[in-house]
Order: sequence, then structure tokens, then C-alpha cells
Amino acid sequence: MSDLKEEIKELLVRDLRLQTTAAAIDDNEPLFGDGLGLDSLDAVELVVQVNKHFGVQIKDMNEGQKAFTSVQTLADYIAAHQG
Amino acid sequence: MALQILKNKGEHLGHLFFYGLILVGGQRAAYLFLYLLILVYAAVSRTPHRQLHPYLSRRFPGQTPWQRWWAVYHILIGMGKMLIDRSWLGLKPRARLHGTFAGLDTLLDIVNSGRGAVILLAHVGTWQTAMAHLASLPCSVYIMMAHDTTAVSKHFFELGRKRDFNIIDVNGFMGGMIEAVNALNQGDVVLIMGDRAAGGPTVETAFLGSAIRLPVAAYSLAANTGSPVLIAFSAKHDRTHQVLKVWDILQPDYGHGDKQEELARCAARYSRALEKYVREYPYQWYNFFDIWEQ
Repeated sequence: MSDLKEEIKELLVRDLRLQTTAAAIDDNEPLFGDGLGLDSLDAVELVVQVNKHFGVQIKDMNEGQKAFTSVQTLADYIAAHQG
Repeated sequence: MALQILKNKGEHLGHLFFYGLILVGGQRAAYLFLYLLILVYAAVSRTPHRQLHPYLSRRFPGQTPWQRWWAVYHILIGMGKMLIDRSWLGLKPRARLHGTFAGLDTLLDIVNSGRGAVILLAHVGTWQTAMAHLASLPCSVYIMMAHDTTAVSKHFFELGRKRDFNIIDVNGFMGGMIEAVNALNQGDVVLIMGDRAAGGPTVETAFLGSAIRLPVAAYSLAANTGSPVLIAFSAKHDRTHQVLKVWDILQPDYGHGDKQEELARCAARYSRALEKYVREYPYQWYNFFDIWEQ
């Protein structure tokens, strides 16, 4: 799980071009709004990258709302849905 | 508050009156009454003149006051007819708006290749009824919209006609972008309105000689899923004939540089296509607010 969270943080910094480092992201920091400040355009990239890198599809906005709360919740979601 | 309730009740009764008129006298009878109603409304109310001034002053900079009044009347008639048409289609099972779709073969090629497509529309022409042209596509069609089921004015699919498309609620989490990504990845078609900024990210570009902010969600969806964007606008040609036409096709691509620059490039192409449209159909513009201030 720890490796998965690090992978997610690397993905956020690299693919979403965040102006921070993976090490500076807290596991429970909110991804959207206050926190990392991601917006709906970032959500598009995140949905695509999670599918591409981890083979997991976020099915709808209800699942997305739970999964995209923080790095921790996204890691939990990916771990639960990976084949 | 009391005034607002009264206004809502009046609006509701007005719609019921038109529904009754359409059921009894059909589309023509409703049009006939509309001409009279709009004539009175345009004569006594300053509101539509104020709302359309930002557009008309840019589209027709040298208009005389009388020409400006006539242009407002013309646009109000067009908007009224569009609202009647969508009610007519919903209320009368045999009602049909005939139409052509210039660009359908291109769209079919894209859909058959499994790439999915974003169709970017605008609040012009017959956008509310134009989606009927897409019912025969060999894939699912989604429209991103704020669907207010309590609104007084009903869509044709709320008045009895079968709905041939799925609605993605833009008021949901992240503006429905997750559902839109999944639809495009499945090879389906997603319709988005490209002219109004509804709180999402925008970029600045020029439209009719002035700076305007346009939404960019559609280009982001396309860049991330590899789907093309078809800029398509519809227009009413006569009482029962509408045309949906693809005015430009884009393939947004983040691979060659800055994302913001790419989004701005796409928005500029959309703006140019919309300028061409309003040059050809100046009185089918239905943004009743200052779109340059959005």
C-alpha cells in the first residue's frame, strides 16, 4: 500500500505537473479545492491516468467522489479494484 | 419574494397556454400567437434590448435604433419558435422537424473507428432539437447539461417524446467529467455546449472583436482520450427544416507543448467557427446576457 501511495504521488506530480514534490504530499491531503487544488481538468487527466497506469476504471461521479478525496482514499480504491 | 412567486406562476400559465395552443392548433397556431406576443413584448420591455445589446453592437456596429429594434424582435421570434418546436415535438407524436446533417459521414467514420467524439455546440439555432439528428448513430449519445426537472419550460423529451440520449449532470462531482471520459473511452459521443462558462476552467480568446472567456473542458476531454472535437452548430431554415453542420474539426493534443496554449488554440478555433456561424445566421443567437463578461 505504501508503494502504491508513492506511485500515485509521483503520477500526480509528473502527469498533472503539480508545483510540488511527491514527498511533500500528505496521504490525507484533499486532492481538490483546498489542499492540492486540483480542478475538473485535472480530474479528467487523473481518471485517464489511473486507468492507464493501474488498470482501474473510476465508474461514475459517486465512486469518483469517494476515490478522489485524498491519496489515501485513491490508493484504497485502486487496491480494492485491481484485478 | 411575492413578486417572484407571481412571476413564476405567470410563466407557468404562459407555458400551459402554449401547450394547449399547440395541442389544439398545432405549430402554426402557436407561431401566429407568438408573433403578436413578441411584438408587444419587444415594444414595452427594455429587458431583451438590454440583454442583446452586447451581441448586436458587435455583430452590427452601425445599426440605427430602428434596425436594432428589428434585430431584437427577429431574435426573440427565433427563440420563441425554437421553444414552440421543442414543445411541439414532445406533445405531438407525429410532429417532425426535417433536417440534414452536413458532416454526418465524417462523424460516422470516427464513431466506427471506435475513438469516440466530442460534439461541441452553442446556444444558437435549433440546438435543443438538433440532437434528434444523432439518434441513428451506432453508439450511445451523451449530453452534458444542467437538467432542471423542476423548470417550467420543458424539453421535448419531458413532454412525451422518447429520449434517444443519456444526460450527464454537469452539477455533479467534477462537472460530470468522469462519466464523459468513460463514454469517450467506450467510443461513444458526448455533446457539450462550448459557449457558456458554467463555473469550470476557461481561457481568453477573441470573439467578434472583443476578448471573451470560453470553457475548455471539451478540449481537455478530447486531449486525454484521443477523441476528436467536432464543432457543430444547427440552424433553422424554414418552419419544419433544420440543418446541423460540422463547422470545424479539432484534435486537441497536449504532446507538443504547454497545455494552456493548446486549450487556448482550440478555443480560438471554436470562436472563429462561431463567428462564421453568426455571420451566416445573425438572428439565431440565443445568449440573452453579456457573454463577454462571463
